Amino acid sequence: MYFSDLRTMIKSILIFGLLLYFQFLYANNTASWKKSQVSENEHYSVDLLCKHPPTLGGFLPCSLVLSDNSNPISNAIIKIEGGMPEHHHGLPTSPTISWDSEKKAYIIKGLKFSMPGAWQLKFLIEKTKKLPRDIVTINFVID
Amino acid sequence: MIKYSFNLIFTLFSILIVSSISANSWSDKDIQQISAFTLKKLQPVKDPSNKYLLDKNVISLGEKLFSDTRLSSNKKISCASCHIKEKSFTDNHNLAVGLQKGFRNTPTLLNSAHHNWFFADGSKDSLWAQVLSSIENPAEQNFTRVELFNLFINDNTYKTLYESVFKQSLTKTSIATNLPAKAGPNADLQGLIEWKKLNSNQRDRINLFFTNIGKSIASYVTTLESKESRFDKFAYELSVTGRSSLLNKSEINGYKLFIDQKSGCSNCHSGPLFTNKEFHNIGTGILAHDNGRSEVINAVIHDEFNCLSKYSDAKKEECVELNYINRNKHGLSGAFKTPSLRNLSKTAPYIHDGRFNNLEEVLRYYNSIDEKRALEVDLPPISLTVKEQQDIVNFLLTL
Ligand SMILES: [Cu+2]
Repeated sequence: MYFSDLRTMIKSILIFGLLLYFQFLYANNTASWKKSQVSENEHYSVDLLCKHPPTLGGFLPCSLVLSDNSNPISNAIIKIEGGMPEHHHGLPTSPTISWDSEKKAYIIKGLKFSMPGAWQLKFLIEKTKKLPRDIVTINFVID
Repeated sequence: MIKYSFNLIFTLFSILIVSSISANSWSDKDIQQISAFTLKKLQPVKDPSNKYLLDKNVISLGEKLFSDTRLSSNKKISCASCHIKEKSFTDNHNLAVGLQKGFRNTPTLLNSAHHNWFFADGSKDSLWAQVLSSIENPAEQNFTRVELFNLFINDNTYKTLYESVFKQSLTKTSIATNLPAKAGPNADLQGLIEWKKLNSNQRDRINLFFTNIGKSIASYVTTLESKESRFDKFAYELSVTGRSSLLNKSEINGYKLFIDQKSGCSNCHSGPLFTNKEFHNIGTGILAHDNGRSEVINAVIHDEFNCLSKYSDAKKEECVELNYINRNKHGLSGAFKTPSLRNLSKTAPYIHDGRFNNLEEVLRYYNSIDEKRALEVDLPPISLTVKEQQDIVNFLLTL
C-alpha cells in the first residue's frame, strides 16, 4: 500500500515536472515583444505587441492597442511609417494597419526589417471629429 | 639581479604568448555571428506560386529545356548559353549577349531561387516568371509562346513528357485549328497581331502551357545550389574546436572589417547568402537608362504572370512579398537588389551592369563614398586603407 502511494507520488511529480517543462518550452517559443509609448502631444498611449522581437528577414506580425487615459480607442485612422533615421531610408515594405473588431486591436501586416541597427516605427493617428491628431514614435535596435 | 631579469623576461614572454593567442581566439558570440553566415543556416526554397517545385519529372523536363537552343528565334541561344555550368552559371562577360547585347550582367543561378525578387531590379516576383521573360525578350532568346507550343506538339519526347507531367493533352488543334507559327504579346509587330487575333480563351490556354514551361525550368534552376566554401569549412571547424587555420590572417582581418560599421558591408550583405534580398541605392543607377527598382514597381504589380495572377499556384495571402511591396518610388530610385556574395571568385565581372572587372575595383568604388556622396545614396561614408580593402577582397574570395 505504502509502496503504491510512493509510486503514485513519483508519477505525479514526474508529470508535474513535465508539464512545467512544456510550459517553459511553449513560453519560450512564443516569446512576444511589447513596447509601450505615449504620443508626442500626450493624447494617446499605445502598446505595440509583436509575435517575437524584431529580427532580420521574414515578416513580423504585430498588433497595436491605442488608448486614451486607459480607455481603448477603436476605429481610429492610423498610418504606419518607419525606417532607419541614421541611414536616411524607410521600411523595405509597405505595411498595413487596420482595426480588427474581434481582436480589439489594430492589426499590422507586412512589417519587415532589412538591416541591423536602429529602427523607428511611427504611427500617425489622424484627426477626426472625435479624435485629435497625434504621432507615436517607437524606437528599437536590431542586433 | 639575474633572477629578477629572468623573471621579467619570463613575464614579458608569457604576456606575448597570451596576447598572440587571444588575437586569434574567438568568443562564443563571434563564433555564433560567423555561423549565421554559413550555408547550414540556409532555409529550403519555398515558392507557393509553383506547385511543381519538387516534382522530379518536372525538374528533368526543365533541365532539358534549359539547354535547348531551339527555344530561340535563331535556334542558337538557350538559357545555358549565358548561364554556363562550368562558369558557375554565368558567362564572365560584362554585359549578357543573347540575340542582341543586353544592358545587364548575367547573374549566377547558384542559390538564385532563394531570392524573393528576380532580375537585378526585381521586375519579376518568381523564378518562373523571370524565365518566361528571358525566353521572349528580343535581346535574349527572342522566342514566342506560340512558337514554343508548336515546338512541343511537333517533338514527341517533349509532347509525351509534358502530357504525363501536366496531365494536359497537346494536339495541333487543341488550341486553334490554324494556330500561327509565331505569336505572343512581346513578339515583333506581326507576332503581336497574330496574338491579338486569338480569342481570350485561346490565349489563356497558351499561357497556361507557357507558364508550365516556366515552372519546369524554374524547378530545375531551384536545384542549382552552391557547395560549402572554404569559409563554411572554417566556420564549422571554429564551431567544433574553437579554432581554425582555414582562413589566413588577411582573410580573417577582411571578415572583421566586413562585419564592422567601418565598411558597413554586412548591413546589406547578411545571412547565409550574404544578401538581405532587398533593394538599395549604392549610386550605380543611371537615370533614363537603367534606374533600378523604382522603374519596375508598377510593372511587377500588374505583371500577367505575378504571384497574384491566375497562373500562379499561390493563395492570395501567400503572396506576401507582392502584397506588401515597397511602393516608395522616390526611396527606390537607383536601387538594385543586393547580390549574393557567394562564389564571387568565379562570377566576375561585378554589379548589375558588370562595370567592375574585379573586386578591387568594387572596393575602390565603395571607398569613394565620402560624406557628401553618402547623403545621396544608401551608404555610409567609407574610408578604408588599400590594405584593408585588399583584406576584404581576400575574405570575399573565400565565399
Ligand atoms: Cu539601413
